[in-house]
Amino acid sequence: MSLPIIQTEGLRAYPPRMSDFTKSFWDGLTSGYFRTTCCDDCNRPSFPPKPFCPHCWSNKVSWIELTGRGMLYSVTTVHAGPAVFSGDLPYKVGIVDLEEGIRIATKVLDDTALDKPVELVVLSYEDGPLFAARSHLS
Amino acid sequence: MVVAEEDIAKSTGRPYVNIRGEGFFHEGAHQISEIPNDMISFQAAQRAGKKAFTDAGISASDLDLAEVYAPCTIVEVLVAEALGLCPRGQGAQQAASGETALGGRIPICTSGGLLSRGHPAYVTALYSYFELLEQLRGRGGKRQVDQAELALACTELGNYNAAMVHILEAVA
Repeated sequence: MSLPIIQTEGLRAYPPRMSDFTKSFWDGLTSGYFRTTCCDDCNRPSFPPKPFCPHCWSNKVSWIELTGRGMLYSVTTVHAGPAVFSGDLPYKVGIVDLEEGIRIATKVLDDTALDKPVELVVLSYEDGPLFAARSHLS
Repeated sequence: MVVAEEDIAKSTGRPYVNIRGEGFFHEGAHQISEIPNDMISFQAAQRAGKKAFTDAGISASDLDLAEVYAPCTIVEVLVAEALGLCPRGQGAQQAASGETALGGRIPICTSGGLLSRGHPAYVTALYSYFELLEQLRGRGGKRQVDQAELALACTELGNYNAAMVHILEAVA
């Protein structure tokens, strides 16, 4: 299941560092897929993606695709932010619990209430993708 | 501050306090745990506190004061609850009503804490221990807690993903 892709003007204010290992994540996001690693031994997913399993320490992991659906656990509005994000002020950041049992930190795009369903979307900037959450009407 | 065996401390002839118990716990995550948990229960402080109380053979109600690592207002409330200094959900109310103030039931951060005394990261926790040394040696001046004998210090990292607790005791 792919994420909605929102074409976004300009460049990312603070482009994420991409390593050989995390390239799969960013390439997937460009195409609308939210991927992470899952342990081949204990079958538990992890985020951010890692070349080992933090639950059982196995080195055998595979890439899986997540639905990008979850619930908003916490959110706050940043009014005074780092200079690099000054163009975005005020902006919201939040904590989302994904359906697969993973908790992530993410930018939040709208006024979703706590404990309400959200979905991840791809913000497709001219120099690459970012992800963010917005309310999801199920 | 000097840490030494008690006979060495005693031999200096200078005032000292005893470390009566200690506890440490790290939940294995930094800031936001990827496994959803209750982020305001400060599990590491709960577990480290329990270990320290057990090690010292006392309970939270035996304490005369506490210095906790709280760089934000809400953190002092939450860690006070996690350590059992206040019942869960009542930390803010008890702080507002003076229970955690000097002269109250359990004075917390007589030093002023990270927000009033200051928060020079890396040495902040040492200021907290120093405040307890002063209190337990009766050198607290206007901040002195009457008959302070048992005190708790709690430090942390991340969003209280790890906590270290010490119970300090005055020398009779």
